[in-house]
Amino acid sequence: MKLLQYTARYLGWFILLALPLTIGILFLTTRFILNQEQDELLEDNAIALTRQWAANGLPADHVLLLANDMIEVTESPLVSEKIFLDTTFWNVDENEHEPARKYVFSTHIGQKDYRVSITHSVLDQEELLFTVLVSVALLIAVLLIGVWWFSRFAAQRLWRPFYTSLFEIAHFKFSDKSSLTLPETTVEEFSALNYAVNTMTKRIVDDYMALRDFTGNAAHELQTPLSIIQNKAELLLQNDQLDQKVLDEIADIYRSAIRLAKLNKALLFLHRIENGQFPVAETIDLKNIITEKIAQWQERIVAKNISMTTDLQSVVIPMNPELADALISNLLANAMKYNYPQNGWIHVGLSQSRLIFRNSGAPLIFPAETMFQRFKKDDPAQSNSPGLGLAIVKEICQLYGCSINYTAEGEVHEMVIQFVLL
Amino acid sequence: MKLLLIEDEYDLATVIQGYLAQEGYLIEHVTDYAQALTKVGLYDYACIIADITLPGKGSGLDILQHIKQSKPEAAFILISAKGALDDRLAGLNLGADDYLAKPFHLAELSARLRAVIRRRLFLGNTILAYHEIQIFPYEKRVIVHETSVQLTRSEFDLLLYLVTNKGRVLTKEQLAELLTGDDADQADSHDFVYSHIKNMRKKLTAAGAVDYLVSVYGIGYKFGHTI
Repeated sequence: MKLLQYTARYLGWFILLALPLTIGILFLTTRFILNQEQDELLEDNAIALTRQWAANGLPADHVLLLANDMIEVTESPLVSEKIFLDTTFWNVDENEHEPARKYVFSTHIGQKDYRVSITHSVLDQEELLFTVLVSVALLIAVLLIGVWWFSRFAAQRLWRPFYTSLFEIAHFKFSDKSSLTLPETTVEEFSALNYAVNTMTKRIVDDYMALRDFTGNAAHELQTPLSIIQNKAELLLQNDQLDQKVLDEIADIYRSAIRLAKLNKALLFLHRIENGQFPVAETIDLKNIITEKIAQWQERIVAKNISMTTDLQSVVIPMNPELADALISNLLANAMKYNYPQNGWIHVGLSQSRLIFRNSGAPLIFPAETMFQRFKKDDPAQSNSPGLGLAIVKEICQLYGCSINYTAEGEVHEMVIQFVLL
Repeated sequence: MKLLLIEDEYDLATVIQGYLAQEGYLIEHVTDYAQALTKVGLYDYACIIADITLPGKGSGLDILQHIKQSKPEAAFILISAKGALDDRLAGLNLGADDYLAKPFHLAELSARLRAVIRRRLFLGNTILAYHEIQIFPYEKRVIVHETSVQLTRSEFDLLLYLVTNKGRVLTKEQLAELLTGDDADQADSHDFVYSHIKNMRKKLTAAGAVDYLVSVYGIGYKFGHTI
């Protein structure tokens, strides 16, 4: 759930709780104040009545029924206590019960003590209270819902730079070389965040570039000394004055130098792919490249007695020819290398959507995920190979945004490259 | 035959110089652009071998450009540590006769050098002969005692390479690379070389040629009588 939804939800709960509570409090306080007023009025009336009764004597009836009041007088000993209470009042004209306020007090008229109660209908007051409450409740409800909506809307607007930044960060790739630049924003927190992320990625990109250049330069600088070692060893091998034992040792040095040179070459190649030094200047037909490669390898395929089947459609895509060549070579080399020593099979399938290399071979003895790792030495018998072939394949796929997957089911190995619409 | 080597790595230059001197070339060595231009201005060379990256002003490509104007008759081989296709294409577009990426086998350099000079001097109409074996490089044909020997492409390439570098030990790695190019990291490529050598030998001796191929134990092969 989004942060916005969380805040909106909390605000919603708060409103649901606060709304009845505030209305309740409002109801109680208003009623209290109105009752207070009413009680004062009743007291004033009582004083006026007693004064009147003192002058004119008590009315004949001990119960006096007026339009909105009822006055009862009973003889009783003097009690100092005064009582206010809520009751109902029978309205004769309207023929209904009405809410009322009752005031009970004692007084002394003539020679006798009386207990007097004045009941006053408060229907008007209750109606007023109800009207006020409803309108206030409506007002508060409208206000709160307004606030809720507004905060939702405002939050959406306010968080927009955050989502923009998030999108930028999610789509950022180190290999793109350019450093991340998040847009300016007026919100202080976001602009601080953007600034921090910008500087952090810049530092990481710089370090990454430096490291990459270092690898590239190191590999490059190694070429010449390697040439010297290789060529000197080659010269020594021509020397027939040396005995066999020495020649064997020199041959070992020579072989190691060649291995190192091959490894170095593969590293340089990877470095050049990463550096984007293979521009796409033309379109190529993968079918032609595969057919050519298989023809080039024909003698080796025959030597291993591999049965080669193909199902190729013409697929014309914009791709650097050198990379296309490296891609197909490495895939074919892989299918050959991990095949049976004799009588295996290879199938190559090419359609508009994907390229498949399927081959027979001994079941895998290591996890398939490690397949594309650099320098992965899976099989001690293959120690002559630098283990960079599939790393190169993967790098090329990444460069062109294709996905590559390897699966093995028993003795059937499959390498699938899924094309994107180029 | 006089050659000029332009290479700033002294050690590498010495090795190349030593190897090519054994082949009977007269070879001079300079280390930068300015020296190279002075030498080229003074003498004529059959072939110029230049490294692309040189210290100071002017690269191997600049030298190439200059020489193509002033001495177009000289053959030109570029060597480079970069090995990038762009460099190769730039070099060949400027008129270089061949291109070698470091590190390379000396025998490879020697073979390319021979091919380049042959192309320049004899316009390709040349026969490479070793006793009764006659090789026609451009027609990809081999004749022994006046009978044509049918060799496969790989067998022919092997024979040509062996004869060009006659009297020298050629390693299995070198021959594997010749046959499979850069993809020679195959574990079985040595067996592959061996089977081709075996077939080639069989065909040549069947046609009546002496078996000149000597295997050098643990290292490779050598073509020629003397050991």
